[in-house]
Amino acid sequence: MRADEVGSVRSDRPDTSTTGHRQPYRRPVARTWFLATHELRVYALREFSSVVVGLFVLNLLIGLVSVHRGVDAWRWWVELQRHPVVVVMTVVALLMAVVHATTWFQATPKIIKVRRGRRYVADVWVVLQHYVLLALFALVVVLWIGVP
Amino acid sequence: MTDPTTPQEQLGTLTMLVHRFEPGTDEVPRFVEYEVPYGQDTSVLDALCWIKDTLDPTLTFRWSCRMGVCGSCGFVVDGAPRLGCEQFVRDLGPGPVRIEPLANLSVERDLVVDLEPFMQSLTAVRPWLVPDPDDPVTEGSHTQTPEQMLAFHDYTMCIDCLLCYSACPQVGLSPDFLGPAAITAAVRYDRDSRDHGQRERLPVLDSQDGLWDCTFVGACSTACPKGVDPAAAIQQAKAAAARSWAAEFLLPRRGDRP
Repeated sequence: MRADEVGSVRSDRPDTSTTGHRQPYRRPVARTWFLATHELRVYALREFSSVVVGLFVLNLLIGLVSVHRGVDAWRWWVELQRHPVVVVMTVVALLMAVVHATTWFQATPKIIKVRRGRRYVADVWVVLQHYVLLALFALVVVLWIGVP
Repeated sequence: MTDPTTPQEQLGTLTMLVHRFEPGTDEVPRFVEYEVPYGQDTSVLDALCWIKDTLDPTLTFRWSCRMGVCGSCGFVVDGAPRLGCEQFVRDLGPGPVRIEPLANLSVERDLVVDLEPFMQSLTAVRPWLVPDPDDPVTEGSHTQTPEQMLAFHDYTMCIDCLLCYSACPQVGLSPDFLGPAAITAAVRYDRDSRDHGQRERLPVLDSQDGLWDCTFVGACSTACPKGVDPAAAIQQAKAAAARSWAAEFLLPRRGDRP
């Protein structure tokens, strides 16, 4: 049997000379993949919290623009802050800011490794350092702005 | 090896739903139910071997060492990536318990996944000691202190089992992502005082499909059976890449000393 006859016998099959008979099946990723496990849900909450904090910052930006535009615009913005939707959003933003900050502080030991001799400083000290720095920063801001 | 299913040792039976896929025959995967007897020592891998030996010899899966060293028998057991040899059946259930191939990787057949993309990712990061041309080993061996070894030691424990690829949602969302184990291998060699290959690895890491596909989910480190902590390796590599970028941007000679 000649070589081209071998080819003709197999012509009804796909060319597998380089790939073999492998046909790997790629499973689809579910749209709700971030709800699959507790760990992924916590991750999704951490990521989503930044969106809510972002909305709060947007509100602040609008306030800054109102200051620039004059007294009437400023009064409108201050009145806007009393709107129930804005109040709820601000409370949720505070909660989400706490979620975002604490989960990030909790994650920092993975990035910051401080070597002491032949071992690393325990994670808890790295996390604690962030809370201390946050407290110091908050104190400076409060002293700078002044307690009403 | 004693038979884990001898009557005097048997604790009960567990229903397992095993992922089956025959390329060319099955359009999509299907699940087949098996009733598996188990004892105190029966692992998921033992159970799969029992199914293959007694119920269905066509069931296909990878395994080798049976003791968490070779990294071949990774499966998704009830939604969590586990080494089949390290997961006792007695700790599972009540059934039915789903046994699936590692997630985020293509399925070749039944519980066997395609390792080719990972092998390409791994070789792309040059996971070996790149010698310093100015300090060849012919001029004397390179010694290393315990402190220098600490910088990378934990990352050497990786067995390439790919549980981290199964755990990482970014691997599923962007299939060209280098992935946790390959990046960790790069970091392992970058941190080694005997290595001189950082300059070659950086363009691979600091690329579209490199470090920056990682969003710090952290599931890779949870899944790792060897305590390697790939999430830490990747975040530290991100910091190092950012420092390198800043050095290149701000300083002549990328901040290297003349």
